[in-house]
Amino acid sequence: MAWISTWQWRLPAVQRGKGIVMVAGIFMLLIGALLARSEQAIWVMPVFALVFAHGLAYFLLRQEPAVSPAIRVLPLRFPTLAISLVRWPFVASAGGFVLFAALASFLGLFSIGPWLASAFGLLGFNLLAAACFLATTSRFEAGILYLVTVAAIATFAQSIGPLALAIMIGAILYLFARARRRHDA
Amino acid sequence: MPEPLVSIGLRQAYGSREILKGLDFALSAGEWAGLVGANGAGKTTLFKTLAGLLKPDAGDVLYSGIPLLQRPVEAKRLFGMAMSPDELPLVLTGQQYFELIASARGVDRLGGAAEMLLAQFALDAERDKPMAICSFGTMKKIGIVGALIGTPSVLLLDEPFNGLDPTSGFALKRMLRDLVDAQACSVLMATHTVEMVATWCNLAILLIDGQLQPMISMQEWRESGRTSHEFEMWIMNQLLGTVSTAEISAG
Repeated sequence: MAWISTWQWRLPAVQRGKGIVMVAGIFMLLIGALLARSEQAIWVMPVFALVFAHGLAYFLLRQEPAVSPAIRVLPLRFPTLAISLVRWPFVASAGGFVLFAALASFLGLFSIGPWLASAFGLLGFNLLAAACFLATTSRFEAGILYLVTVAAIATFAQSIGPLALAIMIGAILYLFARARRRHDA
Repeated sequence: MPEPLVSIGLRQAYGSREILKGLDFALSAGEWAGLVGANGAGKTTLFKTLAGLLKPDAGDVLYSGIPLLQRPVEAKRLFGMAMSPDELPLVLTGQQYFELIASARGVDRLGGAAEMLLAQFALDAERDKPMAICSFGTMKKIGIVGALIGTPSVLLLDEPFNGLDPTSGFALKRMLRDLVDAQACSVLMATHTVEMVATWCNLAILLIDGQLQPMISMQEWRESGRTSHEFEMWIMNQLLGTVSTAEISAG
């Protein structure tokens, strides 16, 4: 458990993968967009949304270090901080999603099982990390954000995938802006 | 050469309650100022504002001429602030916290002063434990060592001696004295121990009801032959206005 907690704080030391994170995030968005256009979209979108949601929700949780006094007195710009904070959830989400998508495509198994396994596996992992994180700061706010986001996205995505995606992006932009305000306050 | 730390008309309010009422002061290189004030006088608010944790309602803070509000990243490279135990990231070990600060400050090593104090604080056995399971005193030491990493030109220390054992406290005093004398470091330190200000500091600053009183040169005080006890009585007189001149003279 300790390493899960520490990488979310050791921000500057792990910036080397910044480019990989961004590429992985963009790749994941492209895959998601392509899948959403296919006939499989009716069940791919909810899973995609769920995987994406827990990555984003975890990103929201990980903004909490950005407002910690110990971080705010350090000479770090907020964008640097934010990129450092998002790198791992994006890698985990994109990696897990792409891995199972590739496997399902290769085997010709467009069954919902592997996708759900991917989604819930990552969700469980993130919950574990989140629980560790929640033990230290902003338990209530972070927990509510996490659960509401995942539940709302998973529910909406069942019928209106693109709208769910828009809500997610809206939520992330709002919370990103809020974290920046609090960091710069 | 701009002063290492300048406060210009700093004002801070919580709602309608004004905490800092337009503070103007400057610390020169190689000055160790002891900030004294009653509980609730605004000392911690002042430190948070100087460190950029609170945005002032008016005024600005300059570090070597660099305005904190306009150029925060550059300004934050110039000072170190000792975080209190409740502000430290409890999930990290002390060592990880030090590495985080060092990498943010762009230094490979902790720096001579931090490493020396680390040894004098005898933190070797504790630095690899998560801070959540460390004692208050250990966390206090970790916060202080963190402020010294990279040897910044200004140190902000809010009651650094609270919770420190006597030997660690003495090691910190000697370290600060050395940093001030040998490296022209500027230290602003809040404390309730008036005698310490009289003995160790160059300047005494009184904060009364959100307003700064004129700075007192401790060197001049000592050279005039007055004792630290007289200084304590003088401070009490300023804070309470109840100690008579006769009592001060009586010592």
